[in-house]
Formats: sequence, C-alpha cells, structure tokens
Amino acid sequence: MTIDPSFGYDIATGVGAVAGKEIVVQTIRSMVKYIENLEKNIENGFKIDGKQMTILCSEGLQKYSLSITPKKGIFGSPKYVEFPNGIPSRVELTQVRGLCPLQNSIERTPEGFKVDTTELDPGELYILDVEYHYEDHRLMDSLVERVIPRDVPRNLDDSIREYEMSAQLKHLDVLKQKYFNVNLRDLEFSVDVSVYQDINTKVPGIFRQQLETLVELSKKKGRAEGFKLWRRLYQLQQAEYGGDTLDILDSMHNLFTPRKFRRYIDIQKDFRYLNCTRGSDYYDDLPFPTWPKSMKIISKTDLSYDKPAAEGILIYKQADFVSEIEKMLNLENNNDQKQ
Amino acid sequence: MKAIKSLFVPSTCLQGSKLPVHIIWPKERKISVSIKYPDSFDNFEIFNGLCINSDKNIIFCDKYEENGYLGLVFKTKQNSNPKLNLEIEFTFEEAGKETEKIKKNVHFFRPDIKVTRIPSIIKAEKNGKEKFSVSEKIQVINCGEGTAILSLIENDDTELKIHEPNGIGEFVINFWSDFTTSLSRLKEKYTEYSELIDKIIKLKETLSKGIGESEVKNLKDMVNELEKILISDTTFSEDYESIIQTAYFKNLKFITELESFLIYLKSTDSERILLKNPIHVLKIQPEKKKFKGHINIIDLNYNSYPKIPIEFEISATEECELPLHKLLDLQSDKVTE
Repeated sequence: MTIDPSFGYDIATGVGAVAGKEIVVQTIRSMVKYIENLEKNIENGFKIDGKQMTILCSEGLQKYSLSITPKKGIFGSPKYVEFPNGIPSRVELTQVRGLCPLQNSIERTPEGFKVDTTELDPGELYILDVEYHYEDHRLMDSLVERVIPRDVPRNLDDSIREYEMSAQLKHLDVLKQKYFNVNLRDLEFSVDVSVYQDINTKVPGIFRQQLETLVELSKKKGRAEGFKLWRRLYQLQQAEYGGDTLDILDSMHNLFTPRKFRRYIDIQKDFRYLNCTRGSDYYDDLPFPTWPKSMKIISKTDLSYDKPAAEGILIYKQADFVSEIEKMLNLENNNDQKQ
Repeated sequence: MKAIKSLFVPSTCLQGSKLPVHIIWPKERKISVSIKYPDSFDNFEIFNGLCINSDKNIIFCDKYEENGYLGLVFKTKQNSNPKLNLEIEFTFEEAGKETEKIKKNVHFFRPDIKVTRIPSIIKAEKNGKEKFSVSEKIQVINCGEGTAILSLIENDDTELKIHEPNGIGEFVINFWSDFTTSLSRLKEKYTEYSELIDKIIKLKETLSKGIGESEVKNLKDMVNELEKILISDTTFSEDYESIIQTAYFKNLKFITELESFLIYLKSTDSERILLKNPIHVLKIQPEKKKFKGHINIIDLNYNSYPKIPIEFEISATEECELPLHKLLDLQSDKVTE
C-alpha cells in the first residue's frame, strides 16, 4: 500500500490522551516507588529473586509479590526486617515449599510492618505479598479504553442477543518497568442490556385491565363503587389469562434480582461475569427504576503488558427470559391449547 | 505463518458511537499496518502507535511505542441510510512484503422514526369513569434497528400545555427534592466530584423540559462521566445508590408498585420505541384548542435526531386530562437482515 510521503508521522493520540498519559505515568510511578522502597528494606535481610506488581482494579488495591530468600551473613541475619513505608491492607509471607503461610513471622507496626526472620530458613524460597490501597479512582479510565455497546440491532424472533465488549490499553509502555511488568486484574466493564420490550409485548391486555382495576381499588372509593370494582376484578380473574395479579407482579419483579437474572446471561472469551443490577436509564424522570428498562451487567477482565487488549461477548438469552414471563402469565398453556 | 495473533472489530455499531479496534501480533515480528476505513467515520484515536493518516481514509502505522499492539477508536457519524454495512480493510506487511489482508464488515444501524399520520382534529370521548379515548392517534413508526427514546414537547406558542400528572407527579417532585438535597451533602464528602454532582442536581430541570438537542450533549457527557466513576469508585457508588434508595422509599406513599408497573408498560409500548413522558397530560376542554409542539428523538447513546413538528386541534366531550401515550400509536417495523 502506498502512502503520500507529504504526510508526516503524527502522534495520533490527541491532546486529551497525551494529558491523560502524564497522569497515568505519575500514578504508576508513585506505585512503583512503593515497590522500590520495599526492595530497599528487603535487601537488609533477603535476596530478591523475582517481583511482580498487580493492580486489583475492582478492589482499588496495588499488590506486590516478591520471591525472596533469607541471606546467610557471617554475623547471622538481622532478627527483624522493618518495612516502615505505609500500612498495608494485607501482608502475607509464604514458604514456597509446602505453600505454607507463616502467620507468626509478620508483625504490624504503626508505620507499616516487620518480618521476623528467626524462624526462616536461609536459602529457602519465600513469597512476600503486600497490598496497599490506591486513591486514584480515575486511573483505569486514563489507562484503559472501554467502549460500551449501548444498543444492538434487535428482533423479538431472535433467541439470543449479543453485545461485543472490548477493553484496550491506551498506554502500553507505562506497564513496562525495569525489572518487572505491571498487571491489571479484574478490570470492570458494564453493559446495559435492554429488557423493556421482552416484558411489554408479553403482557396481555386483560392483565393490564386487572392492574388498572387494582390501582383504582387502592384509591379511596365509596362503598357502591368499591363493590363494582371488586366484581369487575373477579370477572377479569376468571378470564383466559387470569391469575393472582399481585403474585404474578411479584414474580416478575423478582426476575430482576441479580440471582434470577444471572440465568439469562452468558459471558464468553476474555471476560468473566461479576454481577448485575437494575440499569440506569438516565433519560428517564427517575434515576432508580423499580421496573427497569435495562439491566446493567458487570463483567471483568485482565490486561497486562503481554495482553494489552481483551475482547468478550455478552449473550442475553432473550427467548429464555420471554419464556419465563410467559410461564408466569400462564401464556404457554394458552398457546398450546390454541394450537 | 500468520502474522497476526488477534484482530478485533465489532460486527455491529450504533451510528454516531465509538468503534473500538485492536490488533495484536508477536512482539518479535516487525509488522506495518495499513487500515482503510469508510468515509462515514468522523475521526479516530490511536493507542501505542505513531501513524500517518492520508486523505484517502488510510492510516499507516509502522512505529509503535511498544511493538506488538495497536489500538484504535473510530468515532462514527450518523448516516442518511439507517442501516448499512461498511468495510474496514487491514493490510499487514513484513519486511516490505504484504503478508496478510483482512476485510471486516461492520453493520451500522440507528433508529429511524417516521410520523406517518398526524390527524388535524382529535376528539376525546369518555368511555368509562374518568377514562377517555381518542378518535384518531398520531402514527409513529420506527423503521430502523436502533431503539429511539421519544418525548413530546410543547412549543412556546401552543394553546395547550403539557402538565405533570397528579400522584406520580408529586412523587417525582418529592423524590428529586430529597435526592438533590442528599447529593448536595455528598459534595462535601467527595469534593473531587463536586462539578459532576452539580450537573446531576441540574438534571431534573433538564428532564422536565424534555430532552432537546442542546441538552443531549450535556446529558451524554454527564452519563459517561458518572458511569466511569460509579464503576471505578465503589465507596462513592454505594453512597450514590443509598441516597437514591432513601429518597425513593421515603416518597413511596405517593405511588404504588402497581401504578409504577402500569407507567412502565405505557412508556415501553413498542418494541424499539421508548416514550419518555407517557403519563404527562394535556388538559382538554369541550372547546377546540390547538397543540403546537414537536417530537424529540434520541437513541440509547444519547445521539439526537432531527425533531418532528406536531400540530393538531383537540377537544373533549367534557373537561379531562388526557395522558400523552393515548395520543400516540407507536410501532416498530420488523427487523429484516
């Protein structure tokens, strides 16, 4: 393919992205500073064999894992190795042989923690895991491009609906450090899956009339009018699509709980299912719909220097969801009888 | 041997949205990439690459900050054709020789709202206690494959105004009042988000006017920013959800679950159309009055579409409040591939 040479190279990332990179570089640099401080202290009593830094995105934690062996000195090892670099949310020392966590070898201090080396075997391999909270909640946004598919072409005849997801690093080089690479784990991704049409098209007119009658009954009525409405409700409930209106409504409401709705979701490829909640229909008059027009599906993925982008498919099992509503409204039996 | 480990291009894209693309190849191989993209793409952003962009819709890239990965995000445009297939062509070269050519098709879609009939005169007749039906409805069809969110908005020179209904209207007003009061308090705890919180507080004002073109961009930016923060800051997310729930349950006396379900059904009456203000009402009298207004249209990515003018005269057998959903017949064409 030929390219007009009059066009020069362009760092085609745009001003916004370049400004974003400075923030990312600074934040990663401050995180790496922790691991450098840890190393300085570790070298007082240990030899470092390997190290890794992982950002646990959904928990807001930076995790350092170092493989270390206690040093054997002429005058013996120091009894304690101090780490006064800040209070970690979690710290664990594990002997690789037997994968045995050594609870008694770690002591918390007001400035951080210290490792008691008296019970450690010189020459043996240990793993030190240390986790700290990080405060920059916008880091992932500056580091990763997450494009959310807001809508997909749809047809009620389709049995499933697919949403394609992708997460890609904006800046790969910042994850590459001198002696180790930074990994991103459990990076969250949310997709709003539309469900409104699956309910509405299945709710029969007679069920709506039952609801309207119940709404009228719930308002203050005179005795004669109330009696008429109860009689009307009774007639409607004897009709073809009859049933206990409030029970049906309750069952439908339960469909939107995470435990129930999970059944209709499948996540494939590089993403994993995490949770689901009622969707946020910001265009609506209410930001908290009791009857959601969409469900927000949250999944997660991992990225690293060696895996800079991830792709996934969210499958919404539309036909199964519709079939569940039909069962609740007793429509399946009616359809069978008609056939 | 194939040079490329993975090439991702989504198979569908809502017109006017972002289209992400990424390519991964072995780090030890020196690959140059040419990407020929359609005219209807607006602009693009590149990650990890130093590229040449020619005026022939071709991006050429052979320099990378780190070898083995190129990420792109195209910004697409709305097209006059509501559904079309476009091709993106990737050519890979190694040591000056073409090693692979891959073509990817993307189906671009959007809603396509057509108002096929506006009756010049509408009559509302009583057909039960406090229930009215109309002689003829405004016919609206979505011929596209994307979901459209419609709102019927009045013009300044209309004789008939749109009103919030009783009951649910009271609930909405009280809900927003409690919600925004709590949000203001949240600003003290999360000073870094104070600008965003102010935008959310102003949201109700925007929504009550209906979503016009000028408001759509602000709403879209606000939603994007809020969603990013909600997913990345769990503590803020929990506090935010908590104040919504508190405001909701505090005002529950104004609305029953049954009513909310009925409103839900009325706003989602068609497969690919959502009506934003279904239970807002026109207060109609026996004398004929003129309604002048328009239908505002946005899609699920908050892209706006040209508004459609609506004008009719309406009268009723007796004074009544007619919900807007009763004036509109919303339909969607069956999607065919």
